[in-house]
Amino acid sequence: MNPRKRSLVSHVLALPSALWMLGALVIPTLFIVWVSFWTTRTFSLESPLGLLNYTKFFNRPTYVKLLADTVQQSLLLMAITVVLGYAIAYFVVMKVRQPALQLGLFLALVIPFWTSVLIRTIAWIPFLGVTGVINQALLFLRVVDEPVSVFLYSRTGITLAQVSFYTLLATGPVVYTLRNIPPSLPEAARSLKATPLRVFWRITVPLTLPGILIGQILVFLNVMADFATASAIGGNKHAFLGNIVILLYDSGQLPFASVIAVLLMLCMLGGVAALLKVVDIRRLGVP
Amino acid sequence: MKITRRDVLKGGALAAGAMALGGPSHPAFAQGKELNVVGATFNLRDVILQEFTKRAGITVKPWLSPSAQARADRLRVAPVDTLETGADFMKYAWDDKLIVPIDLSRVPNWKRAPRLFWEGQETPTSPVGFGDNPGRLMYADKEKTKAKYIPYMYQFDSVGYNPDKVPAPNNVLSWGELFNPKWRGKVALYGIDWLGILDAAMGMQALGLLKAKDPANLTEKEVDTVILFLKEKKKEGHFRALWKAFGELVNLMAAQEVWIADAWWPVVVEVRKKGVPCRYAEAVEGYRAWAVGSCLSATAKNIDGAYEWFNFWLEGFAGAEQSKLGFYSPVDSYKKYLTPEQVRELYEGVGRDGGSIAARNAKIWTWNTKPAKQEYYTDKWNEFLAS
Amino acid sequence: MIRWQTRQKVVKGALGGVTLLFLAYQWFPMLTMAVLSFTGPNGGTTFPMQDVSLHWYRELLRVQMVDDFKPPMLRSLLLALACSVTTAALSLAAAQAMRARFRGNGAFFYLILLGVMAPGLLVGFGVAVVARILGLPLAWYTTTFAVHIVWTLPFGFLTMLAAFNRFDRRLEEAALTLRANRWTTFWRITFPLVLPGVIGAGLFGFTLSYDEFARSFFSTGSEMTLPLVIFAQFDRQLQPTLYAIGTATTVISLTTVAVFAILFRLVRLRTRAAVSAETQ
Repeated sequence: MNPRKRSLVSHVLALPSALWMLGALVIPTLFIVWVSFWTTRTFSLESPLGLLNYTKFFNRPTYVKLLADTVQQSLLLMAITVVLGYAIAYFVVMKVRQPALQLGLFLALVIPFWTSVLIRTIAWIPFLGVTGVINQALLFLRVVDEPVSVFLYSRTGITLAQVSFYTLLATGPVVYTLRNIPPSLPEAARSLKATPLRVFWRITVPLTLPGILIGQILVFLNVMADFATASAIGGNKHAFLGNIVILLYDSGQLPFASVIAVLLMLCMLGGVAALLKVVDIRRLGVP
Repeated sequence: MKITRRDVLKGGALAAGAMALGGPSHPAFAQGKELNVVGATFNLRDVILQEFTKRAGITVKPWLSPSAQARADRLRVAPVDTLETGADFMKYAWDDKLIVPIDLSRVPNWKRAPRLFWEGQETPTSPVGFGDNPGRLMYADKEKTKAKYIPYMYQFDSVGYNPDKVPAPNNVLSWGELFNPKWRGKVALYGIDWLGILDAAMGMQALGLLKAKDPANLTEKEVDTVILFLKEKKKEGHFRALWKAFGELVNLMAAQEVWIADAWWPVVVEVRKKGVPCRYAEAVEGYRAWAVGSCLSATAKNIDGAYEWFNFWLEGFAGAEQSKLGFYSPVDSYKKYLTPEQVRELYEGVGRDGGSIAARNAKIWTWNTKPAKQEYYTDKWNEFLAS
Repeated sequence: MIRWQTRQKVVKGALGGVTLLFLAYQWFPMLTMAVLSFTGPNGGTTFPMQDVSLHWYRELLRVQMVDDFKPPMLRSLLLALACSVTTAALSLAAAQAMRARFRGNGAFFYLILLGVMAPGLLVGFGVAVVARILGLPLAWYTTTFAVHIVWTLPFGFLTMLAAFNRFDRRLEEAALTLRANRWTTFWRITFPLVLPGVIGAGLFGFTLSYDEFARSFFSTGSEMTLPLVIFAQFDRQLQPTLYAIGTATTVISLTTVAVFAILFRLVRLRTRAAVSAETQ
């Protein structure tokens, strides 16, 4: 097929998705951007526009600190999930022989997600709390004398819960790229007397790098935008930008909430662009 | 209501359009049968809605949200008949022209409301209470023939505590007790800025750490003082959690994660039901009160239905049901539906923490308020959260 | 030789241990929830547990006007199924398009990722305001559906990018030289190879939609989805009915999977029997 026709077919394939996103997302996003420039306090579609809210954001060290905190939390989660996610993916794909067991493990990982995240968040409280399962076990085993309160309503608790919710995002793409490695490659390397560790670092990891990266993008974006976990497990005491958007909305400051939203989106865009520099996952197919 | 040919044509066209779109809009002639209500699950309760539907033949379509802001904003984006909210957000909705005045001549039971709701004070000498006082804010005209909303349930917030862990002689506590370092790590405070700061201000005022003229509308300097204090407390690990919704606080106290908090009486009832001791203190300085009621939406289609709704809430059945949960009804029509013992217990304070309703009405220190300096409050609160 | 084998075993054990620990971590809250769902009528969503009963399951089945979870559950289920299929289809098409590096594919990539970047509550609010201006009524099967796809598509799209990542074009070219047309090549060669990715995208579509509430907040009509109804419950006591829902969902999912697995097995055995009968 000549390149011209191929391009046309691609455009046709891409069209439904593009149109959907343009209609259902871009328009509301433009609305948010527009609102961020409003200068009135009340909700008014005729509000005059200005940079008032943006200057306000950058003039307050609090908000800049919150931005830094949010990015920091994302990086922390990325670091944890990249290792944990890879370990799980590697185990399920490479180390488990029977396909039935593979499927079973996979389902065991996925099925909890079919219970509403809100319900699971509520269930964490009797799990992590002072009268919860973990503390009861620790007390029973005499590891501690008093219940440990740091698992819940703290930054630690938030991180623990986020690891639970987001690790699978890092695992999934790695699984796909692991499966795509032709087994002849590692075999060939081993026949050339390469140690398993070398095979891993020099062959497996580079070949699965796109998968790792896709996973990291997913984790990054989700943690940056997260508000429910931070709010529920953090006891509403801690805030990341995702919560702040909601808090500002709840106190009637829609324009300022929109500013935070816009800046959050720009950060995410920047983060993704940076990650793409490592591996351009948009290039598909064997090079 | 006379149905003209035009109405039938309009209805038919709408019906055809709706069916073509496959959309959820209903033909005009069926609108008398539906009422779109925006509220929360603590007032739009199943038992009450079922009764209303039975009596009025109108199906209630509730839109529920724990966020008061979202409830008000719902009127901007969807067809709504009534909004159930408190005086603070009623003010907001009124200023943004989302609601219209209610003709009190069509709600005869409102005349039976106590003086608290007509003048803002139960007796000429009781404290007016700082902040958004419904009795003072709810009338749309000087003659008090039109109201911005019809309050149908109200409550007094005080300090809720676990009596096994927190000693309170005669069940009397000060708001300042919330900040007693003895309870470090076991305290909960309301988590939304305007109310969290208000409760903190009340506690600090009680402890002499703050000298605000109007605790419900603090000046910027006063907010700074409060936030500085809260940040210190947070650093010390004083707060176990901040709570935003009724259910959260019940969980916190029932799991004994929290021993003392700013609470509603119904929270105390629920926690006790779960076998955990909980009491509601008589606040030394007075209560923080609030009143939730129904507003008429500016875009209401079923106005007659809305008035039936207002009247239903003041008729007594709903009042009685809410009273059983621990809320108060401003109009005494509930007496029809409660036994004399229930009335004695719930309203006259026999065997109930905090005493009778009359005593409480006269001891109001502040009202739930949307402060004038809301934006400053939010900014400083975010600082507190970020620390 | 022996050292290599034991080292492999150790590595396998270590990785397996990590995986199992993680699984336990995921499932313990589920088990906690399952246990607490059997608490008595006065029990709450936390320990201590009061009595043991089926009370909350009965509550779940009871028909109510406000707190009824069943219609929202059904709506969420239908919505999730629709999102699943749509996400899988759109992701496949979008990824296939990306393979050709058409003009504007960089912008297209970011356009799709925007779905994860834009904060849910505000997007939902924006959709509602725009819908109001255009006179469109809000409903779970129109506006909410649109917004859900916006959220799930990036996940499905990225999954398909992973699945297509090292896709060997030569397989397709081989089919083409054997004079298969583009359409046949796609369905007979390409599609089966990336099927796991498609299933992954579908799974994302289902799970994310079923769970979604920030975007759905403003974009639904008066008929709400399950997460919204659950969220509204925060204003009352959080009742173990929620746990009953969670446990019931898990049991139903496990049962469905088991049924499918058995059916799959039966079909396999049947075809195998048929094949061996034929070859005899």
